[in-house]
Amino acid sequence: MDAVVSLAGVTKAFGRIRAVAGVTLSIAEGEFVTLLGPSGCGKTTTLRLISGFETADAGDIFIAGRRVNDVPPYRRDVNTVFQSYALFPHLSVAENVGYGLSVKGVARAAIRGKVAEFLARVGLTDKAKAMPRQLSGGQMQRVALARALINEPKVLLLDEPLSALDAKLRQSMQIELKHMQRNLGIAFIYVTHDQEEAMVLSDRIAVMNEGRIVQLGTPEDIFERPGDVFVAAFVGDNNFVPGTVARIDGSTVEIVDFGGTVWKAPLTRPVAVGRPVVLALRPQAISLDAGSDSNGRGHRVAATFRETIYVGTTVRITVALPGGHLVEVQGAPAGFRIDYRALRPGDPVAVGYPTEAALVFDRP
Amino acid sequence: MRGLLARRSLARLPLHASVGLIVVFMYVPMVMLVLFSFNGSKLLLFPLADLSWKWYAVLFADHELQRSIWNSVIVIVAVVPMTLAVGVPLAFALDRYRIPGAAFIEQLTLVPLIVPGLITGLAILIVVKRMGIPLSLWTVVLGHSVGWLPVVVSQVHARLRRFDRRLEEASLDLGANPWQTFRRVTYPSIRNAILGSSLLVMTLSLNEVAITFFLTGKDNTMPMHIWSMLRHGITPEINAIASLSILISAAAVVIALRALRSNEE
Repeated sequence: MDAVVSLAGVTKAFGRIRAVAGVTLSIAEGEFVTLLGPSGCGKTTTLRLISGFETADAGDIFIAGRRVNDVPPYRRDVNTVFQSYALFPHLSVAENVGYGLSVKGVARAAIRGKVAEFLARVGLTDKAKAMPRQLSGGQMQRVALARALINEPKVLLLDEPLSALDAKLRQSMQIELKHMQRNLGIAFIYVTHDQEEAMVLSDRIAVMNEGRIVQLGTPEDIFERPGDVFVAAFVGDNNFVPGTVARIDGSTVEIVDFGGTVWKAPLTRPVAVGRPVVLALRPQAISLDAGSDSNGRGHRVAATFRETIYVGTTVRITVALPGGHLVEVQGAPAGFRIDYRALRPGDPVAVGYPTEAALVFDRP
Repeated sequence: MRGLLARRSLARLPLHASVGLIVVFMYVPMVMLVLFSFNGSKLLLFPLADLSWKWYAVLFADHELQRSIWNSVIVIVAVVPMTLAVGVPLAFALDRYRIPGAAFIEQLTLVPLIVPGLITGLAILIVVKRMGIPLSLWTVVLGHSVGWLPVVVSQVHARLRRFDRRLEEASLDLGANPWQTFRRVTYPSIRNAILGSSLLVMTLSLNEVAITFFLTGKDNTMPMHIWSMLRHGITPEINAIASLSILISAAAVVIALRALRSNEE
């Protein structure tokens, strides 16, 4: 078995709250896996079960093929980058980085060489003698990373390591993390609630909700083929139109919403006529045409213009369906076939989309 | 705006005045005492007619006084480790374990600070007598340890409360076992609290009279000896020993406060 970490039916409760409810997950060598979910979904607890700071109530945890349920954190071949960095305030940068080797009794000269190597890796050679309080957030982050990686763990655990950094720095650190992970070939298990960060970094994403993994797959799988309404709503933007299955025509499903509008979607899972469903449609997949124009491609439904929000790289336009339900359309300013600036509230428009872009879920 | 500021500084006048008075009342007697220890003449007259070290020379020739200083040192050397040995683990227990009524226990440990030393001394005397333990320097050590234990507990506990437990997790995560983690991460951050409270206990014990009065046997500690010397009147010799005592206590307190302040950071 080449899994570096695997969880089998792992459960952990705090009092009456089941933080982790039967998680099964296997991470291959050199893989970058992200646990993605809203706060309280159990992602951090799952990480702490792997690092050994929590003990599983049920299920098994394996690291490099060895069952580690009863192994204390300091005997597990994993290292963690903490959200708060948790640098030792009384030790210099070099002493922080060398801590793991020092407690294992590695010779001083060897530690010095290794520390220099890993400080160079994170670009902090000139900060070796600095104290943690003299560093910026980004630098502390790098020290925490070097301090964990110097131990050459089988797997590195990262608990929202970039959440304290500002947006620009976060983006450059994401790329740096990804490169470092590829170069070292160490498996990373990364916890975040930021779906974009998960997309950028991961080989696979495990979307978690209420202590369970609701979907596990590549970023493309998760974004393009979300398994349920929760994933569709959590990852990227989506319009949700509740309705009922009206007709099944070969590989196409027809859905009638509460306002009487007919929608079309591909038949991807067995549904029956009369079933309450939700149609999901990404704002980016929708195009806008003037109400009178009938040359648009794909399926078209009638709506009325509500408002425009200009955000620079994109324009977000809200339209209302006959039943009053709002739908958001998003696109590059130059990508619209109609002049959206000329639209006035109440103007009739046509909403068009390629049928295969729509997804149908059971109504929760 | 201007009027407001003026009114505010006017309102501060009583404050400044009272601070000034406090300083005068606190330090003028001490300064006088130190000055008179260098008084060459037998008369307590100011300004000093004749400066001299002779009273310090007299001190160093007084064997009984030296014995009492030595006794005080013995007490301190025993009391400081005693209070640490009980106080540090107690502070950890209060911080780390969900003990039912932990807040009550903590307040209970602070009681000796509030109760007058006379009462503490008397209470321990009653117990010690009941148990048939003869009075000696060791009963004094017991009394001082009970009296100054709250200093250690409150200081170390205050530091532990501010200590980031995630640092311990980071240490364990990096492969340090619990003992290494204590030695390399937890201890360095409470070291100053331990040092500071030790020095405070030291000064408090050095100057303690009330508890000692009840619990000592034949052996006198330094402040007790000074007390007994007073029966022959305030001699310049007493000024000299008191000056030395102020010097040592002040040095210890300055170091202690410095250690405890770096502790706050």
